[in-house]
Amino acid sequence: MRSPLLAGALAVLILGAAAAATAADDHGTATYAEALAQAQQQNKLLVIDFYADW
Amino acid sequence: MFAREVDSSDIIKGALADVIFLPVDCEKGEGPAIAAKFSVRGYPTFYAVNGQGEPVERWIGYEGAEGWARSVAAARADTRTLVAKKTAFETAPTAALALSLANDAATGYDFPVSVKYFKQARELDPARADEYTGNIFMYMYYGADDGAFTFDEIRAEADRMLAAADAEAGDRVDIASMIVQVARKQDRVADAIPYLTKGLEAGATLPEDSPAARTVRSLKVDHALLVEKDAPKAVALRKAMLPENWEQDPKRLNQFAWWCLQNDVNLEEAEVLVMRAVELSEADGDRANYLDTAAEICLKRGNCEEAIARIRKAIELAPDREYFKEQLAKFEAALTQKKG
Repeated sequence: MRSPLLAGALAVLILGAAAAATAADDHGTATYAEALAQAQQQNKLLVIDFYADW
Repeated sequence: MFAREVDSSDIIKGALADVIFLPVDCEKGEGPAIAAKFSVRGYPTFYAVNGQGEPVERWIGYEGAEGWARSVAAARADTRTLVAKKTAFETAPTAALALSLANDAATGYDFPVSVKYFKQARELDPARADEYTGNIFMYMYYGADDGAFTFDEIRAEADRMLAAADAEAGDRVDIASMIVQVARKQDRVADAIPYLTKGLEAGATLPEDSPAARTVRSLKVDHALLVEKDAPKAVALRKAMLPENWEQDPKRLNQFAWWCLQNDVNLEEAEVLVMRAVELSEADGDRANYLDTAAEICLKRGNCEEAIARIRKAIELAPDREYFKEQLAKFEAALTQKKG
Protein backbone atom coordinates (compact mmCIF):
# COMPACT_ATOMS: atom_id res chain seq x y z
CA MET A 1 0.00 0.00 0.00
CA ARG A 2 1.04 3.63 -0.46
CA SER A 3 2.90 4.45 2.69
CA PRO A 4 0.94 6.95 4.79
CA LEU A 5 4.26 7.74 6.42
CA LEU A 6 5.81 8.99 3.22
CA ALA A 7 2.68 10.65 1.94
CA GLY A 8 1.85 12.36 5.22
CA ALA A 9 5.21 13.24 6.59
CA LEU A 10 6.54 14.48 3.29
CA ALA A 11 3.64 16.81 3.04
CA VAL A 12 4.44 18.14 6.46
CA LEU A 13 8.16 18.62 6.17
CA ILE A 14 8.52 19.54 2.55
CA LEU A 15 5.39 21.44 1.83
CA GLY A 16 4.86 22.79 5.31
CA ALA A 17 1.31 21.51 5.34
CA ALA A 18 -0.79 23.72 7.52
CA ALA A 19 -3.59 22.88 9.82
CA ALA A 20 -6.55 25.15 10.22
CA ALA A 21 -7.59 26.34 13.62
CA THR A 22 -9.53 23.82 15.64
CA ALA A 23 -12.00 24.75 18.29
CA ALA A 24 -10.79 23.65 21.68
CA ASP A 25 -14.13 24.27 23.32
CA ASP A 26 -14.89 20.60 23.73
CA HIS A 27 -11.70 20.27 25.67
CA GLY A 28 -12.29 23.38 27.73
CA THR A 29 -8.97 25.15 27.20
CA ALA A 30 -7.98 28.51 25.84
CA THR A 31 -4.42 29.20 26.96
CA TYR A 32 -1.40 27.07 27.69
CA ALA A 33 -1.41 27.93 31.39
CA GLU A 34 -5.07 27.05 31.73
CA ALA A 35 -4.67 23.80 29.83
CA LEU A 36 -1.66 22.82 31.91
CA ALA A 37 -3.52 23.56 35.13
CA GLN A 38 -6.40 21.46 33.89
CA ALA A 39 -4.05 18.58 33.07
CA GLN A 40 -2.50 18.81 36.51
CA GLN A 41 -5.84 18.90 38.29
CA GLN A 42 -7.21 15.94 36.37
CA ASN A 43 -3.92 14.02 36.38
CA LYS A 44 -4.01 13.78 32.60
CA LEU A 45 -1.54 14.44 29.87
CA LEU A 46 -1.76 17.66 27.92
CA VAL A 47 -1.52 17.08 24.17
CA ILE A 48 -0.52 20.21 22.26
CA ASP A 49 -1.02 20.63 18.51
CA PHE A 50 1.39 23.27 17.23
CA TYR A 51 0.19 24.46 13.83
CA ALA A 52 0.33 27.45 11.53
CA ASP A 53 -2.67 28.63 9.60
CA TRP A 54 -1.05 28.97 6.19
CA MET B 1 -5.15 17.57 7.60
CA PHE B 2 -5.17 16.91 11.35
CA ALA B 3 -7.45 19.88 11.95
CA ARG B 4 -9.89 18.58 9.36
CA GLU B 5 -10.02 15.20 11.04
CA VAL B 6 -9.91 16.19 14.69
CA ASP B 7 -13.64 16.82 14.79
CA SER B 8 -14.65 14.08 12.41
CA SER B 9 -12.44 11.08 13.18
CA ASP B 10 -13.76 8.74 15.84
CA ILE B 11 -10.22 7.43 16.26
CA ILE B 12 -8.89 10.88 17.14
CA LYS B 13 -11.87 11.66 19.34
CA GLY B 14 -11.20 8.42 21.19
CA ALA B 15 -7.55 9.30 21.67
CA LEU B 16 -8.47 12.75 22.98
CA ALA B 17 -11.03 11.45 25.41
CA ASP B 18 -8.49 10.87 28.16
CA VAL B 19 -6.18 13.83 27.64
CA ILE B 20 -6.43 17.61 27.69
CA PHE B 21 -6.05 18.96 24.16
CA LEU B 22 -4.67 22.37 23.24
CA PRO B 23 -4.36 23.57 19.64
CA VAL B 24 -1.77 26.35 19.39
CA ASP B 25 -1.63 28.64 16.37
CA CYS B 26 2.08 29.40 16.28
CA GLU B 27 1.56 32.75 14.58
CA LYS B 28 -1.14 34.24 16.76
CA GLY B 29 -1.63 35.31 20.36
CA GLU B 30 0.54 33.43 22.81
CA GLY B 31 1.36 30.88 20.06
CA PRO B 32 4.82 32.20 19.09
CA ALA B 33 5.99 32.27 22.71
CA ILE B 34 4.68 28.78 23.46
CA ALA B 35 6.16 27.43 20.23
CA ALA B 36 9.52 28.97 21.13
CA LYS B 37 9.34 27.51 24.63
CA PHE B 38 8.93 24.05 23.09
CA SER B 39 11.46 24.64 20.30
CA VAL B 40 8.92 23.90 17.58
CA ARG B 41 10.64 23.68 14.20
CA GLY B 42 7.93 22.50 11.81
CA TYR B 43 4.18 22.08 11.53
CA PRO B 44 2.32 20.25 12.74
CA THR B 45 4.32 19.31 15.81
CA PHE B 46 2.65 17.50 18.66
CA TYR B 47 3.71 17.37 22.29
CA ALA B 48 2.31 15.28 25.11
CA VAL B 49 3.37 16.85 28.40
CA ASN B 50 2.67 15.97 32.00
CA GLY B 51 1.07 18.28 34.56
CA GLN B 52 4.44 19.92 35.17
CA GLY B 53 4.78 20.75 31.49
CA GLU B 54 7.55 18.20 30.97
CA PRO B 55 7.54 16.45 27.57
CA VAL B 56 6.54 12.81 27.71
CA GLU B 57 6.32 12.30 23.96
CA ARG B 58 6.68 14.51 20.93
CA TRP B 59 6.35 13.88 17.24
CA ILE B 60 6.23 15.81 13.99
CA GLY B 61 3.87 15.36 11.08
CA TYR B 62 0.44 13.88 10.73
CA GLU B 63 0.34 10.46 9.16
CA GLY B 64 -3.32 9.71 9.65
CA ALA B 65 -5.64 9.17 12.57
CA GLU B 66 -4.42 5.70 13.48
CA GLY B 67 -0.75 6.66 13.67
CA TRP B 68 -1.60 9.80 15.60
CA ALA B 69 -3.71 7.87 18.09
CA ARG B 70 -0.85 5.39 18.51
CA SER B 71 1.46 8.23 19.49
CA VAL B 72 -1.02 9.48 22.08
CA ALA B 73 -1.48 5.94 23.36
CA ALA B 74 2.31 5.54 23.66
CA ALA B 75 2.47 8.71 25.73
CA ARG B 76 -0.31 7.46 28.01
CA ALA B 77 1.23 4.02 28.31
CA ASP B 78 4.54 5.38 29.57
CA THR B 79 4.24 8.78 31.21
CA ARG B 80 7.90 9.07 32.12
CA THR B 81 9.52 12.18 30.72
CA LEU B 82 11.59 11.94 27.57
CA VAL B 83 14.67 12.58 29.71
CA ALA B 84 13.80 9.61 31.91
CA LYS B 85 13.03 7.47 28.87
CA LYS B 86 16.45 8.19 27.45
CA THR B 87 18.10 7.10 30.69
CA ALA B 88 15.94 3.97 30.84
CA PHE B 89 16.83 3.04 27.28
CA GLU B 90 20.53 2.95 28.16
CA THR B 91 20.01 0.15 30.68
CA ALA B 92 16.87 -1.60 29.43
CA PRO B 93 16.23 -0.86 25.75
CA THR B 94 12.80 -1.61 24.35
CA ALA B 95 11.26 -0.94 20.96
CA ALA B 96 8.71 1.41 22.52
CA LEU B 97 11.44 3.49 24.12
CA ALA B 98 13.47 3.49 20.92
CA LEU B 99 10.43 4.71 19.00
CA SER B 100 9.77 7.51 21.50
CA LEU B 101 13.38 8.65 21.35
CA ALA B 102 13.45 8.37 17.55
CA ASN B 103 10.36 10.60 17.26
CA ASP B 104 11.82 12.97 19.82
CA ALA B 105 15.01 13.37 17.81
CA ALA B 106 13.14 13.72 14.51
CA THR B 107 10.96 16.47 15.98
CA GLY B 108 14.17 18.32 16.86
CA TYR B 109 15.43 17.73 13.30
CA ASP B 110 18.28 15.63 14.69
CA PHE B 111 17.97 13.09 11.91
CA PRO B 112 21.16 11.05 12.59
CA VAL B 113 20.03 10.36 16.15
CA SER B 114 16.49 9.67 15.00
CA VAL B 115 17.72 7.13 12.46
CA LYS B 116 19.93 5.51 15.11
CA TYR B 117 16.92 4.94 17.37
CA PHE B 118 14.65 3.80 14.53
CA LYS B 119 17.28 1.21 13.58
CA GLN B 120 17.35 0.02 17.18
CA ALA B 121 13.56 -0.18 17.18
CA ARG B 122 13.75 -2.25 14.00
CA GLU B 123 16.12 -4.69 15.67
CA LEU B 124 14.03 -4.88 18.83
CA ASP B 125 10.68 -5.25 17.06
CA PRO B 126 11.16 -7.10 13.75
CA ALA B 127 7.40 -7.47 13.28
CA ARG B 128 7.19 -3.73 12.55
CA ALA B 129 10.43 -3.62 10.56
CA ASP B 130 8.80 -2.31 7.38
CA GLU B 131 7.25 0.61 9.23
CA TYR B 132 10.57 1.52 10.84
CA THR B 133 12.38 1.21 7.51
CA GLY B 134 9.99 3.80 6.07
CA ASN B 135 10.94 6.17 8.86
CA ILE B 136 14.63 5.46 8.47
CA PHE B 137 14.52 6.13 4.75
CA MET B 138 12.54 9.33 5.15
CA TYR B 139 14.75 10.81 7.86
CA MET B 140 17.89 9.79 6.02
CA TYR B 141 16.48 11.70 3.07
CA TYR B 142 16.06 14.81 5.19
CA GLY B 143 19.43 14.32 6.86
CA ALA B 144 21.12 14.04 3.48
CA ASP B 145 20.70 17.78 3.04
CA ASP B 146 23.27 18.29 5.81
CA GLY B 147 25.48 15.49 4.57
CA ALA B 148 24.53 13.20 7.43
CA PHE B 149 23.92 10.21 5.17
CA THR B 150 25.54 8.99 1.99
CA PHE B 151 23.70 8.04 -1.15
CA ASP B 152 24.66 4.40 -0.59
CA GLU B 153 23.19 4.35 2.93
CA ILE B 154 19.95 5.86 1.69
CA ARG B 155 19.81 3.57 -1.31
CA ALA B 156 20.15 0.52 0.94
CA GLU B 157 17.04 1.55 2.87
CA ALA B 158 15.20 2.32 -0.39
CA ASP B 159 16.01 -1.19 -1.58
CA ARG B 160 14.58 -2.63 1.63
CA MET B 161 11.38 -0.69 1.10
CA LEU B 162 11.10 -1.67 -2.54
CA ALA B 163 11.65 -5.32 -1.64
CA ALA B 164 8.66 -5.27 0.72
CA ALA B 165 5.80 -7.30 -0.69
CA ASP B 166 3.25 -4.59 0.04
CA ALA B 167 5.13 -1.70 -1.59
CA GLU B 168 2.61 -0.25 -4.00
CA ALA B 169 3.01 1.96 -7.04
CA GLY B 170 2.66 5.22 -5.08
CA ASP B 171 5.46 4.17 -2.72
CA ARG B 172 7.70 3.29 -5.65
CA VAL B 173 7.07 6.70 -7.21
CA ASP B 174 7.85 8.53 -3.96
CA ILE B 175 10.99 6.48 -3.36
CA ALA B 176 12.20 7.11 -6.91
CA SER B 177 11.67 10.84 -6.53
CA MET B 178 13.55 10.98 -3.25
CA ILE B 179 16.42 8.85 -4.50
CA VAL B 180 16.80 11.04 -7.59
CA GLN B 181 16.90 14.18 -5.45
CA VAL B 182 19.58 12.73 -3.16
CA ALA B 183 21.56 11.45 -6.15
CA ARG B 184 21.56 14.88 -7.76
CA LYS B 185 22.83 16.52 -4.58
CA GLN B 186 25.53 13.90 -4.10
CA ASP B 187 26.58 13.65 -7.75
CA ARG B 188 25.36 10.08 -8.11
CA VAL B 189 22.79 10.60 -10.85
CA ALA B 190 23.82 7.54 -12.84
CA ASP B 191 23.06 5.35 -9.83
CA ALA B 192 19.58 6.80 -9.54
CA ILE B 193 18.51 6.13 -13.12
CA PRO B 194 17.23 2.57 -12.43
CA TYR B 195 15.04 3.94 -9.63
CA LEU B 196 13.79 6.72 -11.87
CA THR B 197 12.91 4.26 -14.60
CA LYS B 198 11.13 1.90 -12.22
CA GLY B 199 9.34 4.80 -10.56
CA LEU B 200 7.98 5.88 -13.93
CA GLU B 201 6.92 2.32 -14.71
CA ALA B 202 5.05 2.22 -11.41
CA GLY B 203 3.58 5.66 -12.05
CA ALA B 204 2.20 4.53 -15.41
CA THR B 205 -0.13 2.19 -13.53
CA LEU B 206 -1.62 4.99 -11.43
CA PRO B 207 -4.72 6.99 -12.32
CA GLU B 208 -4.38 10.68 -13.19
CA ASP B 209 -6.04 11.73 -9.94
CA SER B 210 -3.70 9.64 -7.82
CA PRO B 211 -2.00 11.49 -4.93
CA ALA B 212 1.30 10.55 -6.56
CA ALA B 213 0.35 11.97 -9.96
CA ARG B 214 2.28 15.21 -9.47
CA THR B 215 5.36 13.27 -8.40
CA VAL B 216 5.04 11.16 -11.55
CA ARG B 217 5.01 14.33 -13.65
CA SER B 218 8.09 15.50 -11.80
CA LEU B 219 9.81 12.18 -12.53
CA LYS B 220 9.05 12.68 -16.22
CA VAL B 221 10.84 16.04 -16.05
CA ASP B 222 13.81 14.34 -14.37
CA HIS B 223 13.80 11.63 -17.03
CA ALA B 224 13.88 14.20 -19.82
CA LEU B 225 16.75 16.02 -18.15
CA LEU B 226 18.85 13.17 -16.83
CA VAL B 227 18.18 10.26 -19.17
CA GLU B 228 17.05 11.75 -22.47
CA LYS B 229 19.28 14.83 -21.98
CA ASP B 230 16.52 16.81 -23.70
CA ALA B 231 16.43 20.20 -21.96
CA PRO B 232 13.66 21.74 -24.14
CA LYS B 233 11.43 18.74 -23.42
CA ALA B 234 12.17 19.01 -19.70
CA VAL B 235 11.33 22.72 -19.73
CA ALA B 236 8.06 22.07 -21.54
CA LEU B 237 7.11 19.32 -19.09
CA ARG B 238 8.01 21.54 -16.15
CA LYS B 239 5.88 24.39 -17.52
CA ALA B 240 2.99 21.97 -17.97
CA MET B 241 3.11 21.29 -14.23
CA LEU B 242 2.38 24.92 -13.45
CA PRO B 243 -1.18 26.13 -12.86
CA GLU B 244 -3.19 28.18 -15.31
CA ASN B 245 -2.14 31.86 -15.53
CA TRP B 246 1.17 31.14 -13.83
CA GLU B 247 2.81 33.74 -16.06
CA GLN B 248 0.87 36.43 -14.18
CA ASP B 249 1.77 35.06 -10.75
CA PRO B 250 5.06 36.45 -9.34
CA LYS B 251 5.57 33.52 -7.00
CA ARG B 252 5.10 30.96 -9.77
CA LEU B 253 7.30 32.94 -12.14
CA ASN B 254 10.06 32.97 -9.56
CA GLN B 255 9.53 29.30 -8.79
CA PHE B 256 9.94 28.37 -12.45
CA ALA B 257 12.96 30.64 -12.91
CA TRP B 258 14.60 29.10 -9.85
CA TRP B 259 14.01 25.62 -11.24
CA CYS B 260 15.68 26.69 -14.50
CA LEU B 261 18.61 28.07 -12.52
CA GLN B 262 19.00 24.92 -10.47
CA ASN B 263 19.01 22.80 -13.59
CA ASP B 264 21.05 25.21 -15.70
CA VAL B 265 18.47 25.25 -18.50
CA ASN B 266 16.44 27.91 -20.29
CA LEU B 267 18.28 30.71 -18.47
CA GLU B 268 17.53 33.45 -20.99
CA GLU B 269 13.77 33.03 -20.65
CA ALA B 270 14.11 32.43 -16.90
CA GLU B 271 15.73 35.84 -16.50
CA VAL B 272 12.93 37.54 -18.44
CA LEU B 273 10.27 35.74 -16.40
CA VAL B 274 11.77 36.48 -13.01
CA MET B 275 12.13 40.16 -13.91
CA ARG B 276 8.42 40.08 -14.76
CA ALA B 277 7.89 38.71 -11.25
CA VAL B 278 9.79 41.71 -9.89
CA GLU B 279 7.52 44.05 -11.86
CA LEU B 280 4.30 42.30 -10.85
CA SER B 281 5.12 41.96 -7.17
CA GLU B 282 3.87 44.61 -4.77
CA ALA B 283 5.75 43.65 -1.61
CA ASP B 284 9.34 44.89 -1.27
CA GLY B 285 10.46 41.70 0.49
CA ASP B 286 9.14 39.54 -2.34
CA ARG B 287 10.67 41.81 -4.99
CA ALA B 288 14.00 41.53 -3.20
CA ASN B 289 13.78 37.75 -3.27
CA TYR B 290 12.98 37.74 -6.97
CA LEU B 291 15.86 40.11 -7.66
CA ASP B 292 18.12 37.64 -5.87
CA THR B 293 16.95 34.92 -8.24
CA ALA B 294 17.57 37.27 -11.17
CA ALA B 295 21.04 38.05 -9.83
CA GLU B 296 21.88 34.37 -9.53
CA ILE B 297 20.75 33.81 -13.10
CA CYS B 298 22.93 36.71 -14.28
CA LEU B 299 25.88 35.19 -12.47
CA LYS B 300 25.23 31.81 -14.07
CA ARG B 301 25.11 33.52 -17.47
CA GLY B 302 28.46 35.19 -16.75
CA ASN B 303 27.13 38.72 -16.24
CA CYS B 304 28.61 39.54 -12.83
CA GLU B 305 28.05 43.29 -13.20
CA GLU B 306 24.31 42.86 -13.69
CA ALA B 307 24.18 40.36 -10.82
CA ILE B 308 25.76 42.97 -8.55
CA ALA B 309 23.34 45.68 -9.73
CA ARG B 310 20.35 43.48 -9.03
CA ILE B 311 21.44 42.32 -5.61
CA ARG B 312 22.17 45.95 -4.67
CA LYS B 313 18.57 46.75 -5.58
CA ALA B 314 17.46 43.82 -3.40
CA ILE B 315 19.46 45.25 -0.49
CA GLU B 316 17.74 48.63 -0.99
CA LEU B 317 14.37 46.92 -0.81
CA ALA B 318 15.22 44.73 2.18
CA PRO B 319 18.13 46.36 4.05
CA ASP B 320 17.76 44.11 7.10
CA ARG B 321 18.32 40.87 5.20
CA GLU B 322 21.93 39.82 5.87
CA TYR B 323 21.63 37.11 3.22
CA PHE B 324 21.51 39.66 0.42
CA LYS B 325 24.69 41.31 1.71
CA GLU B 326 26.38 37.91 1.67
CA GLN B 327 25.13 37.48 -1.88
CA LEU B 328 26.64 40.85 -2.85
CA ALA B 329 30.01 39.75 -1.47
CA LYS B 330 29.74 36.52 -3.44
CA PHE B 331 28.96 38.32 -6.70
CA GLU B 332 31.74 40.86 -6.14
CA ALA B 333 34.21 38.03 -5.54
CA ALA B 334 33.05 36.38 -8.76
CA LEU B 335 33.59 39.64 -10.64
CA THR B 336 37.10 40.02 -9.17
CA GLN B 337 37.93 36.45 -10.16
CA LYS B 338 36.57 37.04 -13.66
CA LYS B 339 38.71 40.12 -14.13
CA GLY B 340 41.74 38.60 -12.46
